[in-house]
Amino acid sequence: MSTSAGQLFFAAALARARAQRSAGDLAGSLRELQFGLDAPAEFPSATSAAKFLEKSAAGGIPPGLPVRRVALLGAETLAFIQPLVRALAFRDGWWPVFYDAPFGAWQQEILAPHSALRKFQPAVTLILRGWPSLGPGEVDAGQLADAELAVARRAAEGLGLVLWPGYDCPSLDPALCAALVEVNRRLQTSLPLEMLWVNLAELQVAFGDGWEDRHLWDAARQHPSAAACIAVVELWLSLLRARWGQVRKVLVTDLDNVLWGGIAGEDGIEELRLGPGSPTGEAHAQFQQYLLELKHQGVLLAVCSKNNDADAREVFARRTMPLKLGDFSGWMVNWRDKADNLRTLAAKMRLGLDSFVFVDDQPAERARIRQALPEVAVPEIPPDPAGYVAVLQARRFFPAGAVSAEDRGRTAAYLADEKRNESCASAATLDDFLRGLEMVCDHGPISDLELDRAAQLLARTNQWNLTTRRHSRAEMTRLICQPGVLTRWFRLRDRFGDNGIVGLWILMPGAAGEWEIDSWVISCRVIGRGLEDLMFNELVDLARSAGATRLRGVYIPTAKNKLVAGLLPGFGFSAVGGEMESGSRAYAIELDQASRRTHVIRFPAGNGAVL
Amino acid sequence: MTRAQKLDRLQEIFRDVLDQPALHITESFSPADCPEWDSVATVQIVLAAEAEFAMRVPTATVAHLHCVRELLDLVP
Repeated sequence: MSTSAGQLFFAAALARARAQRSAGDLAGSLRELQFGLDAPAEFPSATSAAKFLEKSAAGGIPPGLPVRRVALLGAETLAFIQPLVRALAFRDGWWPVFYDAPFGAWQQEILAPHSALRKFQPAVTLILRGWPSLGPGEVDAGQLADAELAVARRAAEGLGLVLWPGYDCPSLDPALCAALVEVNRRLQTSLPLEMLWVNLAELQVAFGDGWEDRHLWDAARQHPSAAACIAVVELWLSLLRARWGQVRKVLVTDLDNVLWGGIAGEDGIEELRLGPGSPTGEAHAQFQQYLLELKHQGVLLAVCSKNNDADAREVFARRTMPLKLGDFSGWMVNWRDKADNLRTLAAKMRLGLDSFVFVDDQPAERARIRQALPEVAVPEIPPDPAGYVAVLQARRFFPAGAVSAEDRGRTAAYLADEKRNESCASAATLDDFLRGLEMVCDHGPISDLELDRAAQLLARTNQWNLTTRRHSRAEMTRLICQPGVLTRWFRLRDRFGDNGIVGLWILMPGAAGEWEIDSWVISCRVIGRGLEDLMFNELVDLARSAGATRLRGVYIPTAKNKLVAGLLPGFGFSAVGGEMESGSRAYAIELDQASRRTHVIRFPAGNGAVL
Repeated sequence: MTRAQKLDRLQEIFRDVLDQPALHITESFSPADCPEWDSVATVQIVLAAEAEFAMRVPTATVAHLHCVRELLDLVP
């Protein structure tokens, strides 16, 4: 078929997958297919993958994959986009069970209280609707927006997480385009808060030429084009990953032929192609620039390269380039196996390997990591460095949401961590170590100023997270305005640096003086410092002064939050009822029986508990 | 490229889209011969053929592709 390197890579993986399936090894064949889907997604490869998956799953859903009910709705045919969701969701590690909507009637299905759609009870509702569905005739922006919002408000109940699309714009009709820009503005500002807004117009601009395919529309009522559908699905899936807390946080990069052209240890430092003067040098400099932008967004950069450490450092010392040594939070330059190096990096950074993205120009190294560490994302980058950035961008590993002060300071925080750990090694006891940190904690109610960071903490924290409720920024906005709800952010500084806001809790008022802990999270950067003790004392004090007599909390287990399974009993809570079906456990404590926890964190002068 | 060579390359596309690695197609092969050849598959086949042979298939043909021959006739 098409002969791009990525498509050839996929075709080879699909051939291996087919051979293994014929040999009766279903698990092996699915693994091969998953590797193949590390190639940049294209319409032909993704549809082939979907066909393979449907056939493989004829005997049942592949074991081990979480299943989610997905309603895919649209004004026109969805037959082309559904296989793309199937294939790319499989790449992301989950299995959609689809509701097959009769196309065209999606709004009626949302509005009707007993429609087949509502009986299906989707966990996720995806809607595809482009401008051609409007049909001929003039559009009144106000009326169209009102009508859409009326449907959207009904869709907010009972349809799971709804991704509501904006309109894309017809390239040849400026008047309609202007009206749709206005409709988008109204939708974006007035949609129900719990919905996710899909900015199709912005995606269209970023996509550029080829968004529309008149030919495909006339022949098959498909809009946008096949290639654009891939971009839409990638956007949907990235919004879902962010919502489900499956966020990549670390980009691990190779050096030779990735950050620069040529090999540091062989070609000589002055000969490396980097920056103006050679086309590949330009491409490598652009890639570095892209990494630097990711760093500013809060992505941690790390190096994993087979090189002499001194050679690699010398390149940074002698050549002018966008990235500096200080931009990296991790540095693994040696001749050891890269899978071992990544494991070491993850342990040092206290992050899961499932938050790593690995970039390497050597197909063998990529294959090694895919085999050894399947949780690491290993995009199949093209041989030409000019294509690196586009491939990473298309996968949307790193959501380009709001950037908080913590994001910008994250690399500095991790470097300070290294120093802390060194001093930990020299301290006699843990208590001595914690005292030596001279920790100071500010805290306060969550306001507009802290909203971005608060939403981000809820979205990204997996381990020290009591309930793993992923409130979006919009939901947080609503929560903090709701009368009675108590919220608190906690910021921790120590003599090595400012960790920023690293913890929060949300407390909901209940009947008869019983309040409930809705959420309680602590960033993995500061686990083990006693912050939870301080946060608990504040929880008790503030709940009491708000009139509570009893505090209720639920531990909702996930694959990652075992750390806090025993938290509430440890603080003196007693179990209420048995284990629920979901594995959750409820606990409660009478506030007059709560004892104060000790810790070694100080409050800054003048920071009392302000309600 | 001879007609037979073109047919060979089209066969690869059909095998891929229909997920039938051993599929053998003739010029008269049609949707009636293969339940998996539905309207979506037609569009996939056309898109793949357009990329493979750097050609454009008329919209009318995409909407109503009756057999392999119609596609083969268009290959430059």
